[in-house]
Amino acid sequence: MLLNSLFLLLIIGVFGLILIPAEHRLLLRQFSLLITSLVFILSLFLWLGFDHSTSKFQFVVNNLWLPISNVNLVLGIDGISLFFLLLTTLIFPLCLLASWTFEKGNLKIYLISFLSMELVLLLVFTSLDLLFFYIFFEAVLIPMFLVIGIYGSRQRKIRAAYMFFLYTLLGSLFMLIGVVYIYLSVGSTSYEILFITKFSNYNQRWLWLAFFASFAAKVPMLPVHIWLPEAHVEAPTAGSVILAGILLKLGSYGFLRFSLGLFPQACVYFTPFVFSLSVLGIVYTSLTAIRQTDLKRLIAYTSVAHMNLVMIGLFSGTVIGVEAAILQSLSHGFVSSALFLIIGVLYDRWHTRGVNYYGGLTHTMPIFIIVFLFFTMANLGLPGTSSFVGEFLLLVSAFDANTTACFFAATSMILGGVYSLWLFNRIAYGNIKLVGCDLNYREFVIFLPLLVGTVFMGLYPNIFFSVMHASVSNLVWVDSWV
Amino acid sequence: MKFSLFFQNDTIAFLPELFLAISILVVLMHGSFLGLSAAALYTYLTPSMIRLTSIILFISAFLVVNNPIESQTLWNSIFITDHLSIWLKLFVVLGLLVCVSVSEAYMFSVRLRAFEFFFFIISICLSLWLLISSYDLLSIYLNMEFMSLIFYVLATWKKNSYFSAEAGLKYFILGSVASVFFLFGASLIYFSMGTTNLGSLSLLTENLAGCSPLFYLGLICLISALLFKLGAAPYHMWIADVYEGAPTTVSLIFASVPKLAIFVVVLRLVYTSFWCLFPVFWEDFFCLCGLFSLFIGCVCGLGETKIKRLLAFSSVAHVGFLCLGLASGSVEGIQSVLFYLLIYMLTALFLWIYVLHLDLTSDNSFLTFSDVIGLVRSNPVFGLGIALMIFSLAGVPPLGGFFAKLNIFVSVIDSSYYLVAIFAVLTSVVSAFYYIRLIKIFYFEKAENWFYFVPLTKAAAFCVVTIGWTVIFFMLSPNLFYLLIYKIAIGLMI
Repeated sequence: MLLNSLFLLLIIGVFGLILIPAEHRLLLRQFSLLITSLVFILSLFLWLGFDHSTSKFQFVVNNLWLPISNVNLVLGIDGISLFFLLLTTLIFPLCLLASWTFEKGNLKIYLISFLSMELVLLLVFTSLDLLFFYIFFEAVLIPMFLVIGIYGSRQRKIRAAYMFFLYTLLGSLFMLIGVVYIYLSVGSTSYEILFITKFSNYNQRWLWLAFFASFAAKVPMLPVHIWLPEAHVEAPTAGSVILAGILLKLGSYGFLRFSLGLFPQACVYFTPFVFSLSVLGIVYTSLTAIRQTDLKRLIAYTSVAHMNLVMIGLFSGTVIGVEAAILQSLSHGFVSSALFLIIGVLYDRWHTRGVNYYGGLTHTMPIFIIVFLFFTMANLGLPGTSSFVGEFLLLVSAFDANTTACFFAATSMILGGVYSLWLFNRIAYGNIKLVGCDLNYREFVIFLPLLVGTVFMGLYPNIFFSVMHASVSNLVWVDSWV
Repeated sequence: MKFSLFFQNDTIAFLPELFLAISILVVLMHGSFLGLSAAALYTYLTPSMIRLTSIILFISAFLVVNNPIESQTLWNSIFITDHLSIWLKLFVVLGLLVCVSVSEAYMFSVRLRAFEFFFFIISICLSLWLLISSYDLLSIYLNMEFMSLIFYVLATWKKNSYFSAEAGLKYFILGSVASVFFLFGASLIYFSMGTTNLGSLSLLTENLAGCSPLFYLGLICLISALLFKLGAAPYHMWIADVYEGAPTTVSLIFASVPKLAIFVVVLRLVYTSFWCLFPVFWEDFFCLCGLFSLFIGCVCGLGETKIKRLLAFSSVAHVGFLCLGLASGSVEGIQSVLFYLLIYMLTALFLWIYVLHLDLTSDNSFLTFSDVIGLVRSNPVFGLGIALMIFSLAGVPPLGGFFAKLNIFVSVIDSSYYLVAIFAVLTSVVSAFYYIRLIKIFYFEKAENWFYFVPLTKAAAFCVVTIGWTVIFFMLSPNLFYLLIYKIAIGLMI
């Protein structure tokens, strides 16, 4: 019932927004902020009421959809999806706050797109039915396409919107064939039934490849990662935050829940393949990030690097690896969102993203630089921030699985230092190039939860690990792996 | 002949058709006497005829659903009534009702004052109903010709446009050739089997050891003629020109309604009478046809800049999907085809109503991309509806079109055609490009000239909203559609 109430609240929010006339801009923004904050508070009750000791799905709601074909909208959470859900409900109010001074274009379509995106994302992370997971996985393309295409800042947004849509659609349609095959051979698409179904090795490999086509475009892995720099750069600030903070996690959540859960033997078979792609991705995109002169593009490439490190952890075959992958996903959700919001702060003031234009900001915007320094350090994995916990444990598990991969993945820490520190250096220190106002109250409130969350996750991650442990141990069958 | 039951079953089952036949005469009388003075002709003839036609179609919808006769063959086995025929007749008449009621403003702007137009619309309804109920090759031929002749005339209705004349002439010549092939095929089948009745053919082909090659030639000619009428590749050459040149009201009718009837005929031929030839002949034929249609639809649509031709090529691609669903050979195949037809009819109605609205507001004689720029600023809610309908055509969840494609994929993979499914996926992605290009033009482009808000007519708005709610919010309650389609499909297989 709690899960049903979450998405019913969002549906009420969308209808309310449709009914409010377009000229009451402040009312539209306040109403959507109210709805998303209420959803966040309700989702905190999910965390409070969660039982750590079992890996069974909790708060399960079974909405009947088409009972004759055994397809129903079953919603439920376990230790893995709980945190992705909380990340989603936390990031959306912050995004809406960040777009408070949004003057360009039709605010109503913008807010309706965001609320419907939140609705679809909540349904993705909680759906326990494969067909509905697929439906909502792809349904998020529609509002995101509209947001990138309408509210992007320059003409390249159209190219970015096309690339975002078509890369994901191609992969997802291959996954559709896989889903249909599973439905026809098992007779149901409910995750709980599929989890205990044993597919033959041959079937598992083809199905794993079909699902890989879809999730790899979302993670994003090399070579289908090119949509990400384009989409992140051309989207408006809040759109980039949603893309980086949540949509990338869809890929790793999909791998975790469906590829690891349903096809374990195929995962073992394809582990070298995934490791090679991920390591190539980490090294290549980190090196590319060093060369970028567009602020958002730099952070976008670092997102690719971090998510590929997560992939190494997911396929390492150890409980530590998977738990660290989830924590690193969450931490990346916080850190990357914060970095894009930081760039949004700069963009709001001076409407440019070129690195050459910024310099000496420490003298004029000290509080902003404190926040920027903190998140830059978090990006490169400074101990004390959540990203250190994630990266370190991921390297531990990668060492366990494949030392060569671990060696190359560890270069991510060095390269991460290179691009982050150099970026920070160019912007914060040096000659003063631009003079402007420091962070105002609204912007400070946006960064505060992300800051607190990152520190909290970095200093005491056991809160998160203890919740995930039962579900992850159930997922990773240690004795069935080679 | 069962003389004793003549007035008990046959006539009662054909009450809707008799009503339509008599109402044709009524429409003819009403129109010819009403249009006598110029004042009447210019002002109230068209609205009066539209309302009369709408009322007739509406009443006949009720008549066709309240059919008290159980499933049986009628009129000496040249017609049949069963669930498939009843429900599809209802869908056809609802589609035509939408087509007629939204055309008022267009007819005024194009000065379409002849009352014979409405006579033809009711005749289309009658011919499609008879086609849906046909159970004999000759009856199929007669009704198909009836329908086609009306369509040839309607395509040339705009008397001051060269495109219209070209469209009608191309349709007439190519369509006549196709009908001749149908007759030739029917005669070859009569030659090998000795009967043209579909029921008798199914009994005769049940344990067929070996067929003469003339029988296969007959089947190929027969089914090719039907696929021509649908616009499947490799018989798609007429579609773009005819949809472009015909007056937009007529294109609206072409795009939405005849496919239902002709697919019913194809379903009866493939699944009832020549069912036993399925693994030998039909599955390869429809797979090839479907793949070719998908390919043509996606490649030719990429190069199109005129809206009507783009929608024509997208209909070729959708007919390709339907052929793939037919190729699967199972009950899921029939269900998926019928469901897709229904969703496609609704989506096509919505989009062509938009094209009708565009035709009213644009100055050019043909609609290109430059006419659709800025839709979202002039009609925002309608623009959102159009965008969602286009996403539904592209097959993006959670809209109705995705579920239609999902069912087709279920039936295709059930028959283990994996490569076919992969090819269908690839062409879907390529055709998704020209759909989202349309959305890009609506939403993302800046227009040079001013645009102004032209509201939709009331009838158009009502139809658009009803269809939009059905397709966009399909996911909330799919039971109605799914259970209805299951009932119809099982009725066909038995």
